[in-house]
Amino acid sequence: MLPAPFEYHAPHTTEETLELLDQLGDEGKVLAGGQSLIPLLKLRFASPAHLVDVNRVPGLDVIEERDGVLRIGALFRHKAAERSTMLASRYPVIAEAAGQVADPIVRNRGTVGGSLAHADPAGDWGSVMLALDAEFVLQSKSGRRSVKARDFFSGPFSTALQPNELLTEIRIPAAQGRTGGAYLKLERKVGDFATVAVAVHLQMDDGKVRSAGIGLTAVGAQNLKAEQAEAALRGRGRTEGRPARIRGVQAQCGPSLYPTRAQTRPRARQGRCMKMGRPITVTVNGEKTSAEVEPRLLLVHFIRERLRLTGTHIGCDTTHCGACTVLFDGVPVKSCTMLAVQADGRQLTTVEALHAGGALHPIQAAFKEEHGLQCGFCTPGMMMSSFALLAENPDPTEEEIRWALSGNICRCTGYMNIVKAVRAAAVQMKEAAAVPAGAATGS
Amino acid sequence: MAIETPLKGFVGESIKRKEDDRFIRGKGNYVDDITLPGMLHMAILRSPFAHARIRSIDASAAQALPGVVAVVTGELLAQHKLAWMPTLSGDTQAVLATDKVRFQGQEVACVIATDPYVARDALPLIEVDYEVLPAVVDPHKALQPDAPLIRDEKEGQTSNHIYHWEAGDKAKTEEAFAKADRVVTLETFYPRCHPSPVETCGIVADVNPATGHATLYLTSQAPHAHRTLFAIVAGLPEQNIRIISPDIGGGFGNKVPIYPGYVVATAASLLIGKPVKWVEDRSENLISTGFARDFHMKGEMAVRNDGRILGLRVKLLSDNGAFYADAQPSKVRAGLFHIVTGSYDVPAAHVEADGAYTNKAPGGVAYRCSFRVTEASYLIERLVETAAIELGKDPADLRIKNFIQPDQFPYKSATGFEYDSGQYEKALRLALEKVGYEDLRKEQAEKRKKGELMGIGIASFTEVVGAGPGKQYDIAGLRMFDSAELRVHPTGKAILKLGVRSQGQGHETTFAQIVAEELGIPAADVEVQEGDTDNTPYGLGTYASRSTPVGGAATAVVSRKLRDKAKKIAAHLLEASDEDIEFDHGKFFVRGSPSKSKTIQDVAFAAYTNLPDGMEAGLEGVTYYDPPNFTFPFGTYLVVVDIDRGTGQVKVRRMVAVDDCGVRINPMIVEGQIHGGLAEGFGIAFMQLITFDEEGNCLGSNFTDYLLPTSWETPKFETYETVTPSPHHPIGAKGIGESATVGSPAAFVNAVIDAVGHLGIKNIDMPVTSDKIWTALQAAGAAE
Repeated sequence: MLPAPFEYHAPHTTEETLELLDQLGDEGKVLAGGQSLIPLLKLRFASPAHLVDVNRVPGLDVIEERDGVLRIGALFRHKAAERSTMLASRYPVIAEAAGQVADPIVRNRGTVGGSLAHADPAGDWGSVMLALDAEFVLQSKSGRRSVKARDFFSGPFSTALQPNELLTEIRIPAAQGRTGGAYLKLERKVGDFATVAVAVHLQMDDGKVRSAGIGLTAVGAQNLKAEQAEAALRGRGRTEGRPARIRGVQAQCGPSLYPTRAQTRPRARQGRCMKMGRPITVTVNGEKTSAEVEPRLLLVHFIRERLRLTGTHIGCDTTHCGACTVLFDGVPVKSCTMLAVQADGRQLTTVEALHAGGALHPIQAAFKEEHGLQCGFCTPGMMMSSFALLAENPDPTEEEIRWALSGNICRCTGYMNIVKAVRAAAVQMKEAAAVPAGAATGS
Repeated sequence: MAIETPLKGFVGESIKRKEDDRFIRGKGNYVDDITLPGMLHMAILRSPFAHARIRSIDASAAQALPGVVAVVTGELLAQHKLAWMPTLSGDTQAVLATDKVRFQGQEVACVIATDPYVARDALPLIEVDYEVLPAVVDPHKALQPDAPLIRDEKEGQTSNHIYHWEAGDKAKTEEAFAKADRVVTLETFYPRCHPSPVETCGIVADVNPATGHATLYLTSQAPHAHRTLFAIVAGLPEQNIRIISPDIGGGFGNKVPIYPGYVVATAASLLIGKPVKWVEDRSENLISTGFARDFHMKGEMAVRNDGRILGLRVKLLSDNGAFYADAQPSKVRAGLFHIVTGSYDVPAAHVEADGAYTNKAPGGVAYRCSFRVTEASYLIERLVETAAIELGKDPADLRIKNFIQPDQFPYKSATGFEYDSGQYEKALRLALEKVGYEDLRKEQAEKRKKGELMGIGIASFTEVVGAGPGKQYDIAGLRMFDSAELRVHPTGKAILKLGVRSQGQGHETTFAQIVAEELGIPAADVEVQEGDTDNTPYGLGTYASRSTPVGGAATAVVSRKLRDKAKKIAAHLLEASDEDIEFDHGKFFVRGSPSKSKTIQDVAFAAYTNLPDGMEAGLEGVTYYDPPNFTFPFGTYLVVVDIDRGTGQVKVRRMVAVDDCGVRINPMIVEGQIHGGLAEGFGIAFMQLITFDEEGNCLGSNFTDYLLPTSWETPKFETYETVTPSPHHPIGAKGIGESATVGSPAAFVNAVIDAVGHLGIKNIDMPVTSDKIWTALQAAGAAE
């Protein structure tokens, strides 16, 4: 799975972006987190002539609550939403949903705005925004407009967004009074799209529901707002025991209209020539390296084929297996779902850096000691995710480890010994940190 | 301070794996890591249709794309008699389609280019004019008289029927059914799934135009057999073919067959004179390479009201896809499915199997199982569960009542196997004890009163592995022996070369331990080599849990051969008679005076420096081991689940696994194998599904749709062991790579059925997803 050729643009301001989108029209496609778009490019289900990468536009990833409005920048990443204590306390539906989008590595890269613009009817954010009564700011060269979430989605993968528009911001009426919320998602595994999910945002007044927002995932051709159910809840008190059944929800949804994800048949027949190389400079494992790369070159191929660092592997091509996990500015990403050009000016860390000093890193040693690997193919990615986990949480529980590694698939070990290895490495690293540098270790 | 004695790596010691040092550094060497000077890249154009006639192919536009070196079509291959190749089940398979495409994803043409991206750019430029034909995806429909004929190119083939095959005694079975108090019936479908190792399949084919030598770096579980098949298929002299199977990123049966991509890449390298790399992407792997299962089974069990099983009758229909390409021994048609009587003393049994062509990918690989043993194990264990529900008996008691007893071994089964050894009740009782069975049953009863759904599932499986006596079992005529060559160097270090090929099972450690046990050379001093056909003795490869039963046995036997010679040398060094020399873990000594001794290292040096008169120098040997029988690993798996009545979601609360694989060579590695197999069994039971729509579009063509369990869903496993050595294996080992995948799906599904059986829900086919359970609960009026 390799993308067709395209031209790549990396604007540095919103204005520049809008100018480009205006010029490119139908030929242009905005690249945000890329966690859905790049797999689609690789499958050649999508082959835009131009990609406009907005990751270098400053200010698009902000979040702030001001003047009665919660504003979320379109580049705000799932992981940031998952970690925000403000969101957890004031908008629990957002925080809860954030932790259930895709898998932990994809969440590092994927964005709320990108996900909304992609408009997968089984996607999570649409329901959340419907529950929150959000509106989306769509900007173009000729101006800006605001579209309510309920008017934004118009079918599977289809929205009100025009080709020359950029979704810049999500505006949510600020929570007032007591608020509560939840995102319940029924999925078969981490990384699966919802079998069904529901987003609920409640604002209470005096023990009564002042306003209720309910969004439904994967029950129709698009995310749905359960308006009858919302109305039915309004003004109700908290019921004791089992919650009263809200009629109307089922009637409103009807049978699932969600299309199967079958392969599409005909492919575009146009031949497009390779594009000129772009110069990039990347710091890989501490060493600065410059190269010229075609825009469509995947980061993983840059690492494996250009730098001949073959410890990073390719397993699934669609962001599921994590065999290609590397650290991008210290954060785990799936390098088969990023472009090499995106790494320009950034820091990459691959498995080869773990034992940079010659000695094994405690994680490497623990994987061997605890028999945390068999065929070894997933191991580098698994260790990179473990490395990032322990950097953030030096003393994780078994549950936390299982959660953090759920973006990496292993087919050999059944995960038991991988979890053990990460625990063992944590203990080892803690002990090593407790010994003052230069302290004598002899008897 | 106590000083720990370093482990020598004898049998039974959990030494750390030797192969890990390269993997944890990212220094494994997999096929995709191999880059050769001047190497070209291949991409495959695949059929978008499940069934269509090819009117014409126009590759001119693709050919004209800068960077494209060649476009290979079936027509070109046909000129070299390479358009079709034989399968492992005696059928033929298209390498590149010439007349028709018969499944979605079938190979139609290949582009060879200087860059992998360009190779893919050229694919849509190949114009194929298809006449779409009606597709048939259901094997029952495929056998209807009016079904479209898929294999119309085969002379004499007038229907989609492939084979009919029977095992057991029909008349005796009918008699048993006539005497039964009741007949318990279960119709179940073991759906198609895919092994999906994280590494996909690939090749770097390097044919040297000057010498005619072909070096093929291949993701192969069976490099030697592949070399011979390549020689036959491609018409290359076998001495000029060298297959190197480097590090393999998981196999699970997926890397047993020869795929069209391998053949075309090799042919292209031969024609162009440059190395050609082809590494498939995940979709290609899922839609075209060896799938597993796809068995429609009807099992009937004749029982007495007291629970005694009198007979078993099975009819099965296998869906083999467009080409009958099951990877299996040539004398069987549905693998070793006739192990279906399982762990039970079933006096009479009869199995009837039929195979059908459909417009789906070919394959039928033994996905982490010995040739269709998983399907058999699943059916019998599900049937026993069904019988327990219908008879109102505890499923554990019912099993105990029917187990083959330890004193019945060697046990001749009603379908013709001779079981080597087993203590089935012991394993089951250990599992019951460890899980706290009595208390769980009480808890279940309490919960049921409150309307809560909890289930306890049991599977007491028996496998048949280690193919396998060469006289009865062969692959394409090649007898299923395996080999070991051991060379002990003068300094007492050794190299062991094997005909099998690890894909993560830890051979470099385990087989070194067998040498350590038999010769006393520490495992660290034994280098194990596999995978290079120029450098290892001929063998049939690693699948069907045959490495330890066959390759391991060969290792023990060759070590003993060397030990016999070493004894003679030791006698010479100790100036004693051969008969007076005793051996204990690396030391040769004169009987009665253990202080008078020589180490294996002393002897090894002497083998090159100080030999008895008339003895040949060196301490080397090779053994080709043909096992006298299969081995029969067994165990009991016990699963506890809770089911949410509102969503149908299953939470696996506990999973207790008792395995008996005979003697454990490296217990740490054995445990690891069990963990992995249990996780795959969990995946198969709950999510892994390859299915098709009516037009034959594959609905599991990438990991968005083909779901594999992550660390989050995968349950924790509690593992225990019993040890019942195989009486005919040199060190008593039976093989462990597949037990857990074979045995566990039935345990998971039985647990679900145990939770809902009282509501009248008798069966839910895998994968047991929340929506299927919820729908069943809904129909039973029990959904919340």
